[in-house]
Amino acid sequence: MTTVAIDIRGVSKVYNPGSNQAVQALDTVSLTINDNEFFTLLGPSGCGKTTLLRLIAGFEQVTGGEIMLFDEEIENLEPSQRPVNTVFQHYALFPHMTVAQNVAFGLERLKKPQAEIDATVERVLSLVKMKELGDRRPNQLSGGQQQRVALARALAPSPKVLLLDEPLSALDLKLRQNMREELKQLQRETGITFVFVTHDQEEALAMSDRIAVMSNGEVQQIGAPTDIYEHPVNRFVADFIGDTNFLDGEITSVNDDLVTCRVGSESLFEAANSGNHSVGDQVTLFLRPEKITLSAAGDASRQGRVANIVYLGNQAAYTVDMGDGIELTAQARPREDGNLPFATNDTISVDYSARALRVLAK
Amino acid sequence: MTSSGGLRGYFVRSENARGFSLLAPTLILLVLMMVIPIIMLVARSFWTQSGMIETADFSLVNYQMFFEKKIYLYVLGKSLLISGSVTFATLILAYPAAYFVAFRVKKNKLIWLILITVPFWTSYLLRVFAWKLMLGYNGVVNSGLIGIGIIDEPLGFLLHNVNAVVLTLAHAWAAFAILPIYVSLEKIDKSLLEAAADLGEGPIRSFLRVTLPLSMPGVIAASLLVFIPTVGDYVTPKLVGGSSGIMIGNLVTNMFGRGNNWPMGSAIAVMMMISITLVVCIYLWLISQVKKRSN
Ligand SMILES: Nc1ncnc2c1ncn2[C@@H]1O[C@H](COP(=O)(O)OP(=O)(O)O)[C@@H](O)[C@H]1O
Ligand SMILES: [Mg+2]
Repeated sequence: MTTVAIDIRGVSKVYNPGSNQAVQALDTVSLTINDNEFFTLLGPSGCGKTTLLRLIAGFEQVTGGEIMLFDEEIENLEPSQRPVNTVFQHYALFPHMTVAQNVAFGLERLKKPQAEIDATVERVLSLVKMKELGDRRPNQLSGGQQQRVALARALAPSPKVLLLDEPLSALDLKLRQNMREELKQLQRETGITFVFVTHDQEEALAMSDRIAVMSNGEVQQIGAPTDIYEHPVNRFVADFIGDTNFLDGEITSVNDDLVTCRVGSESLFEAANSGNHSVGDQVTLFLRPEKITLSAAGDASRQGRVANIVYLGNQAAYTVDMGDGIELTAQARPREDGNLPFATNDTISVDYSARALRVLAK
Repeated sequence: MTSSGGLRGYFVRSENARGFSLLAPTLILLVLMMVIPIIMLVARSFWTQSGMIETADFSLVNYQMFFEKKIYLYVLGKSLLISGSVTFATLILAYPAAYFVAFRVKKNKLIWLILITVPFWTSYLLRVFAWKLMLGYNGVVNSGLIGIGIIDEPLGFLLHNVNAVVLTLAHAWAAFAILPIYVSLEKIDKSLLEAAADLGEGPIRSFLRVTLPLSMPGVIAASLLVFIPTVGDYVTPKLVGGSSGIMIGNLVTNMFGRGNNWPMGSAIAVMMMISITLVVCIYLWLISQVKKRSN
């Protein structure tokens, strides 16, 4: 049975209410985060992710709604009394303390014997692979090391929930990819509920048990990474997560499992019928580039002309002009000799299964 | 480009020459106003005076006098103690004010800072006189207390003693303490305080463990800014100190004035500078020891 760690019920947040600088940062957000879950808040900058995290941590007060932590109302608890710890975006390490003192900061209040504190500090520091650097000051550490210390400091008091605000955004690519796996592993080992904030969809897909996609202070969709990627509920989610081809058109016929849709002036596309569609509906179809197979011109039903190529090393992104004002983006791998399979202006076949083409409500 | 020969060429080529010429105005002013007078002061402290005649021969007679007559050492020691108390009192007054502006004031901080420093735009002398009016026998405090019936007769112990000197000096130098403390508090990243709260510390312990240590550079700067100049102050003790509030600066002015013994006055001034330097060095050494301990 799953326990609910955090229950966010219709939470709204308005900054500077009543003034002419009022900002609605969150608009009746509801979501539940399960115990032991790696939960990600994903959305573009300014959509309210940090605000939601700060409401959970207690640095801001809700304007409406309520937040329950393990079935307890926490509105009246000071940040210091909440069993959650935060990894701040810019780490917020205490510059006048060593790494070990930083990590011990949240432990000293618990009035444990010094030996026990030292043991915990050592254990947590080795968990984040920083055992050797306990005597350093934060300004003597690299960005990645500071990140680990911030993580260790937040983990040391054994919180029930760890809040992480874009903890990887200041790191360079390779380090970021390594830390992704380490964080995920750390979460599994400690069993602590992680609430992870990011604007990087790849990061979210790679690490999360579930993702909440946010935009403009509202939750757009909540689901497992595959759900979000394969079955986005609207154009915003489909667009924000990964690359997508969008085709705007009108439904011309509906079958049991397929709908036919007219795009442009006369091109017909068949797409999976996700229900509730009727002839004449204005809809958007979406098709992920990797669902399209490109091949040398042959007997395939659809053909197009290569309009543009973007070389990405392990693959190339092809923009194919399908005529009638329609362009599709697809991918192809370089051949074994390293050359790209098609050149600009080649006419090629474009194949995909009708089930890969999905209908989004407009 | 013209060929760079002669004097101009020398300036173009020589990094040092250019540096010195850029520094020249400040350097000249500093030498004229600080270095030469101090050399003259030290030199004169080894001269002697008898009656109206000043003899420019090297002699240690003034320093001998300084250590023989107990009054000099006594007043010097008392001056250091008074300045120490002034520094302490100023920090106690200034820290909350600086804290308030840095953390509680959200808008128009500059206006608050200007308001805090406005009283210090008036003459130092006027401010000392203001305290004389406040604390005097028929002053504001006494008549106020009589007015609300707390006392029947004016309190005599308010003015003309050490406490009055400490109070007046602490007020006079408050702005010099508030500003450096404010700057060091303002520099503290507010997310550090959130981190402290997040890790379970309440406001008081957060202050003691994060805010106070991080503002120590400002506190140390403020204490030096107040301590060093107040040791030699002679206006305040003269006006509000009475006979018990006398400080080393009064002895120096005396020697340069009615006493008409400039060499002795110079020797007292030199001893004052040396003792201030010693106290400051010990103070900074203690601070560095405390810092080492905490690691
Ligand atoms: N302290 C604040 N005062 C006023 N507006 C704020 C404050 N903090 C955030 N906002 C506004 O609230 C919105 C959401 O901000 P934030 O939660 O930081 O977004 P995110 O973390 O997703 O980038 C933004 O429009 C931002 O400008
Ligand atoms: Mg943010």
